[in-house]
Amino acid sequence: MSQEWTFPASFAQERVWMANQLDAGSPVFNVSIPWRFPAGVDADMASDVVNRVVARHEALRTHLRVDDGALVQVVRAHEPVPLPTTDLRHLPESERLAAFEAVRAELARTPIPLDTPPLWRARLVRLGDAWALVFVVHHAVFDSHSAVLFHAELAAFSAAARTGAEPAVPELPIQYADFAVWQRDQLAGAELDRQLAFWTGHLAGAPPVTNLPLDRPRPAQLGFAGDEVRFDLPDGLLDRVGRLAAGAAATPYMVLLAGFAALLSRISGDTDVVVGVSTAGRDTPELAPLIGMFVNPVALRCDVSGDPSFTALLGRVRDGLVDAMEHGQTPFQKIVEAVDPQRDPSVQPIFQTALNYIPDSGLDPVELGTTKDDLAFDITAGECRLVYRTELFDRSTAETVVQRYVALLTAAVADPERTVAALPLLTDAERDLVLGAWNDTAREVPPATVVDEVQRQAAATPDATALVCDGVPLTYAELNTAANRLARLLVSRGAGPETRVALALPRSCELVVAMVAVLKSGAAYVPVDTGYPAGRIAYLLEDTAPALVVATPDTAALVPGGALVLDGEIGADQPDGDLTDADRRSPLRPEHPAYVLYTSGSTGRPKGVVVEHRAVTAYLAWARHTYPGLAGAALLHSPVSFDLTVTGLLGTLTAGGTVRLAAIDSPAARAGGRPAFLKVTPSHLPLLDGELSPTADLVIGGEALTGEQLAGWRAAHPDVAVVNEYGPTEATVGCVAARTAPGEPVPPGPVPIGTPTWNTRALLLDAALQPVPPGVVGELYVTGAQLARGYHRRPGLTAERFLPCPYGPPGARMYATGDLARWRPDGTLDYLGRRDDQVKVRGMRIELGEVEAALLAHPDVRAAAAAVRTDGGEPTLVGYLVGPAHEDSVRAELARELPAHLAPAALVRLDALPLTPNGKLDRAALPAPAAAAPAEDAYVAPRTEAEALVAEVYAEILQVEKVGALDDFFTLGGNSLRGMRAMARIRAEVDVDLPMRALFSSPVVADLAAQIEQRIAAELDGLSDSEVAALLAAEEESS
Amino acid sequence: MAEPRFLVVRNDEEQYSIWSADRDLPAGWHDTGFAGTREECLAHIDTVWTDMRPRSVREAHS
Repeated sequence: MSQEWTFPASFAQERVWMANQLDAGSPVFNVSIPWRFPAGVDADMASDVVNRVVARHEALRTHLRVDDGALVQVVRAHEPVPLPTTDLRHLPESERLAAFEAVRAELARTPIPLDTPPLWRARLVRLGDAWALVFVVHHAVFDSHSAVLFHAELAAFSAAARTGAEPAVPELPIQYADFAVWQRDQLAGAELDRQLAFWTGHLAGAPPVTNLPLDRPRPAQLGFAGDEVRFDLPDGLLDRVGRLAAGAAATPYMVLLAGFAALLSRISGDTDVVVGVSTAGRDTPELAPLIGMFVNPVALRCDVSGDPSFTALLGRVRDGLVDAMEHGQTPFQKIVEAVDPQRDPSVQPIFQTALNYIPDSGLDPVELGTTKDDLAFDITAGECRLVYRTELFDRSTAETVVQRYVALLTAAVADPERTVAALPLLTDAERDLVLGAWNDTAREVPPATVVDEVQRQAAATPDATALVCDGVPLTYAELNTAANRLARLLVSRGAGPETRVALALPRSCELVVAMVAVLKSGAAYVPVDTGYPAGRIAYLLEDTAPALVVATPDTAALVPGGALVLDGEIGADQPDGDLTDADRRSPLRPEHPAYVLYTSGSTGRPKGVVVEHRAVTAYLAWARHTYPGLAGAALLHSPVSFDLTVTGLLGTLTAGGTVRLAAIDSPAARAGGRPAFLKVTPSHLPLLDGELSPTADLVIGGEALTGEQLAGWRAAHPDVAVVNEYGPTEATVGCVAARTAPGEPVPPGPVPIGTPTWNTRALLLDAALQPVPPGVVGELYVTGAQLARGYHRRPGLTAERFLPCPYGPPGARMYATGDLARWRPDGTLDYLGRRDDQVKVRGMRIELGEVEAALLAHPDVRAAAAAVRTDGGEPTLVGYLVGPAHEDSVRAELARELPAHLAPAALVRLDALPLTPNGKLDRAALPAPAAAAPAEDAYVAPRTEAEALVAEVYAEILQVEKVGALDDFFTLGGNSLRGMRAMARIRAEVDVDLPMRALFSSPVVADLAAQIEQRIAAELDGLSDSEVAALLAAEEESS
Repeated sequence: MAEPRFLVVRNDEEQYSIWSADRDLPAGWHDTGFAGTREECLAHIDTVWTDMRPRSVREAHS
């Protein structure tokens, strides 16, 4: 064996080694730098030239090895080796270049193991008269400046070989290993502490992840799988970038970075973004001529808050970059350990995006199919590229990111005084889609009142059954007549347009008659839920200021005196024909309110939403068209104070169907066979058995819906249409809906809410009220025919939520729903929860729906919920489940499916999910998890040999006295470097191929032990019986 | 940093709303002349928007 010397690895080598360990089979760190020898250099000379360069630079004779748990670089004495050759002259000239590229691509894509010298691959290829060199080298010993040096030395030695002159290469006063030793000495103790103090201060409070619009949720463990989009910048753009830089005391790189930061902020909605940049790491002249790995990543934190102009942002980027570069020698992994020790293997620490400006070096034509970052731009003077992580993004999304960057940068450079929010993000085509084609909902609906519609139906089908309650049917004629009589009585008691009549009535025929009667009188009805506490009823009646309260003998006591109490006789003496405007106190028009429904805000008093007739009839026209089941029987089970019931009640009564009034769990709900139409909340789904399930339309509204929640029901009823209907009361019942036709499958994950209803437009806007592009999260604004008038007697609140609409006819308003959504590529909307509920745990945005869907994916979980609780001060994620599933198996399932930040810290088993009277999940009633889960600090002694081994290694490496089976490596103070030593120790104790990433995905003693056992079992499975017997015998002997 | 400024604005139906002072006002909306913080504007609207019926409804009614 040749002579070798060991030195400590440099920090950069250690970082590359660590990262490489996460997937040692990936060529992600291969650097490919081909070169063409001048004519006259033959194969032997070429081989000798390469050998001379290798002889000069120890880095090219270095490999890495773990010695006693520490990473060392091993330098070998130079032994010249002839390079293999390939002669392509037998091919037609036109095919030679392609063949050369094939050789090159093959070498570039073949991983180079770090522990086996040399860390490069070379081949001489004869293309014609001259020879070309294919050279691929591992990033652990090579960086981009090394490539420049390497080519220069090849040229110098080639020239020398041909002329016999001395090669024109600089002296090398030191070698790379000298630098590593010096660096280890420099960056230690107080100096390192000082530098780290800068970085922990600089990055304090920075978001741990930029919330990029991903096509897929983060996998539990990131890999290096990547792809790239190549593109050219528009002609002259880099020149204009340069001119702007020159005028702003900045560099072109800073302008490119400012554009990138602006883009990231706009597509993520974050105003604090961290981008990766690199320092060359060659601060002293001795290092300039050395081949080796010196580059150090640096985090650039960009403050995009306060809607700065692009010029102002450029200034911030310039200052930030200068600051960061001044501290650019701090080893990046030390910063990671100081800032983000509890790393989440689904997220790259500190930054996930990068931008490199390499004006002079072209791109490597070989695409490795790998990436280190989620998104990384390489900008050159020629061809540029965006490298992206294929686990997170589709190619089409990456292409769109490129388009947006180029468009935004072009506009920013043309007019740098524009604010970041005003820079264009959408292409014209996208703008046309989100404002036009996807909102093309215009439909002729003649203006009408609800009264017109009900009377039209009563005249058309007088003898059809309109209503069934407690087994008693009422025909359309009977309902209309009864309502006419009561309406006249109401008018005589003061009811009329622009007044309100409160209905303190239980679910009954009388309630429906009274609702229709109030509408006929011209007044708006206000349902009063008689089950509510007296205080709430009193508040509601006080706020409503009704002209009249209607009650029954049973409920009269709940309301103030003077109420109209319905008994059998009342109104019997009134004429029974339809009312005309002459019978009313003033004419009824479609612009008058039809009802006032009270909704609870998350804060403050309940507020009455005033909905006009024209908005209700606009919705009903769409609903009758969309739900053929409304012409059949509709089960009405929810309280009428909940606007979800408008569909089943007024929709049915204007379509000729039969309203069946019954509680969902009462026998009456099942009398008369399956309903044709049923509207429920997702929480009701588990209650829907064969008899309750509708035959035509199941409409789900009120809450977010996932495919998992629907899966069981859908499997049993594939022949029914399912519609996911979204709509705040302020936009009348349902304003966006997605229909799944009979037979159409419902994939797992969130069910889209679909497209806007007739004459309604859905706008997704950012904080500056600019439309967001498809795929980007925005706040949902609704505009059009279904908007409510506002909040009863709340002008300020109305003005706050109903805003001028910049994208509609003059004077139009748009309602700010406070909900987040995004456009899918097919023009349907995904609902992403309340903006106020945007919950973050440890700075990471949490999608509760994702957690709930993963819980429901467990076969033994029937219902699930997730919530972020702050019982103990710090926000923690809690999972709730109903069903026999064992907690450990649920946890294991979640760990496989979800990134660590989405795994609940506690699981709580419930008999049933708590529901509000409206059938929605009652989040406030979810119990707190049992205080201080015992596993948190209780010591559990290792239970198996593998656990004992892992615990012992942790204790030794981390200098901890006692390590239990449930202790976490990183919680105990572990970091990646110590992790590397721990894994080396474990591998030395048990002869099993355990990858470094096992520690990141399973840092708990018991979990890592289980992985070890699994791998041993798998290896044993691969052995024959006799091999196992031999192994056991060997074991016997050695012990 | 200074709190963002808003305007109290009104459309032809005499419905009130608020609008960021440094953004272009959409067509069909008019500046009422009152400007202030978001809270000040909303409080102002609470005092001046006393009849919340759209103007067309109010005029037909009377």
